[in-house]
Amino acid sequence: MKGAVHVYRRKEQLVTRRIADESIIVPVAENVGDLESVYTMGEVGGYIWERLDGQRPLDEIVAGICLEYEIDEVSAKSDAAEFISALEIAGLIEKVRGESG
Amino acid sequence: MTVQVESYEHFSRLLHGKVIEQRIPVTATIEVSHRCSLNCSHCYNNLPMNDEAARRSELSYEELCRIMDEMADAGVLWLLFSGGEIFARSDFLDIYTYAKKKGFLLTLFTNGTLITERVADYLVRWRPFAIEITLYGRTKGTYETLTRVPGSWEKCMRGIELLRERKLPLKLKTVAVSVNRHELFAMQDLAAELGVEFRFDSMINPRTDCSASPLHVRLTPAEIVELDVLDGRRASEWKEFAERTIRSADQEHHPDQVYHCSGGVNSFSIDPTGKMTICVLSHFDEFDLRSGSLREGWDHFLRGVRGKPATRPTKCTDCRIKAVCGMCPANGELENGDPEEPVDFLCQTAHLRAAVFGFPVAAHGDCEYCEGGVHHPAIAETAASLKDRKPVTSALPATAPKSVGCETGCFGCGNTATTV
Repeated sequence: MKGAVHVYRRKEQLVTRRIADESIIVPVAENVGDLESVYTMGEVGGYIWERLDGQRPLDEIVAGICLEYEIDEVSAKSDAAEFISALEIAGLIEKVRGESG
Repeated sequence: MTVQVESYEHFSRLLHGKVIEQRIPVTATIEVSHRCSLNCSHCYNNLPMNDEAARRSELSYEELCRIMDEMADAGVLWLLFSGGEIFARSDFLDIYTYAKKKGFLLTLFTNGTLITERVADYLVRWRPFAIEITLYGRTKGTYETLTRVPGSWEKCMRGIELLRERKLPLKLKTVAVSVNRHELFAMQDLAAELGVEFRFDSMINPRTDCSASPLHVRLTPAEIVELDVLDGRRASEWKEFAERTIRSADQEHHPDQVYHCSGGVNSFSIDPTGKMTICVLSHFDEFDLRSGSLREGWDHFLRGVRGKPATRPTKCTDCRIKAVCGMCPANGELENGDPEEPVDFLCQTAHLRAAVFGFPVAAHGDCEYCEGGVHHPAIAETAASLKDRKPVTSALPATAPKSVGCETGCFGCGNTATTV
C-alpha cells in the first residue's frame, strides 16, 4: 500500500453493537452485507472499523494501531490490509479513494 | 485481526456464554399490545381489538423509542415483538423500523391475519431476523373453532403466502389443544410442503388476568405425551435432551433460589403498559418503566426478583427431571397463586414422559407420581399403553389448579369458573 492513499467508509444501514466486549455488525436493510449472517470482530478490528469514516486514510489508522496496541508497523499494515479485504468481501465497506498519492 | 462471519449458532452460543457471567440482558420481549384480531380459546393474554381502555393504556411510540434506546445501551441484541397481535397497533411498522435502526435482531410473533402486501413488502426492505406465525388448525373449520373469528383462516393463509413468496424468514408453529390435536401432524405436513420450519407446544396456562378459561381446551398429560411418542423427531429430541441434562451429574442446581431460568440473568419482558417483568407470564413482580429507567429496573429490581430465596423445600427442589417439566415460578403463580407451589399438571406430565422415554427418576421427596407414590401405578400403566400405542385406559387423576381466579367475584377477567 506504500505510496497510495486508501480511504474507506462503512456502508450505510449497518449498525455496530458493542456487547460483552464484542463488536457486532448488524445489517439493517436489504442490499447491505448478508442479512442472514452475523459479523463480529475483536478489539483491534473494532478500532479500525470505528475509524472507517470516509475521511481518514488507512495509513493514519494503522499508525494509530501501532501506538495504541504497541504493534510494529509491518505487522499492523499487513493485518489491516487483510481485515479491509475481509470487510470488502463481506460487502460492509466501500472504497472512497484508492489512487496513488 | 479478522472480521468473523459467524455461523449463527456458534455466535449465539459464544455470546450467551459471555453475557451470563456479566448479567447482560441480551434477550428481551416487548408485548406491544394485548389486543388481537383473533379470540382464541387457549390464549393467556388476548383482548378484543376494539378494547379502548387497553389501547389507551399502551405505551406510545415515543415511550417505546425511549425504552428501546435504553435497551440498546443495556446490551439487548435479540428483541422479540409479541402480543396479543403486533399488527393490532396501527403504528407497529414505525416501532419496528425504529428497532431495526437500533441494530436489534428482531423476531416477530404474529397470527398472520393482518399481513397485507404493503406489510410484506416493507418487511422485505427491512428484513426481520425471524417471523413466526401460529397456525391454529389445518382446516378452516378447526382453525376458526379455536380462533372464534369467521374468515380468519383465509386471512392467515394469505399472510403466510405473502411472506413465503417473498422468501422472508418464516416459521410456523402451533399450540396443540383439544380442538386441533387431530390436525397437528397435518399442520406439520403443510409446513413441510411450504418449505418452512414447524414446531408445536402443548403447554397451556391460565390467563395472566387470572381466568382459567384456557384450561378448558388443555390436553391431558397422557394426550401430551402421546403426541411426543407419535412425533418421531420429538421423541428423539426428548431422549437426547434427557441424556444431556438429567443424567448429567453437574446439572445446575440452586435449591436455595426460586428462579432457575434465564429470566433476570440475560432476559426480561415488557408488557404493553410498560411493566418490566422477568418473563411474559410472571406478573407478581413488576417494574413500571413509565416511572423509572430500564437500567434501574434491570440492575436493581429484577436482580432482586431473580435472587429471591426459596421459602421452603418442595418436591420440585431436588427433582432431577426438571428438564422435561415446564414447572417454573410463573407457572406456579398462574396455576396455584404461589410461585413455589408445584403444578400438579406439569408434575404428572413430566413423570409420564419420564416413564415413557425411560428417564431415571431419583427420589425427590413426597411425590405421588414416583415409585411408592399413590399415583405411580397409574403412571406406569399409562406409560405402558402409550409405548405400545394402545388406547389409554388407566385412571390418572384429573389435574386442576389449586387456585384460579381472583376470587373477588367480579368476573371482570372473564373467569366464571373457579375449578376446571
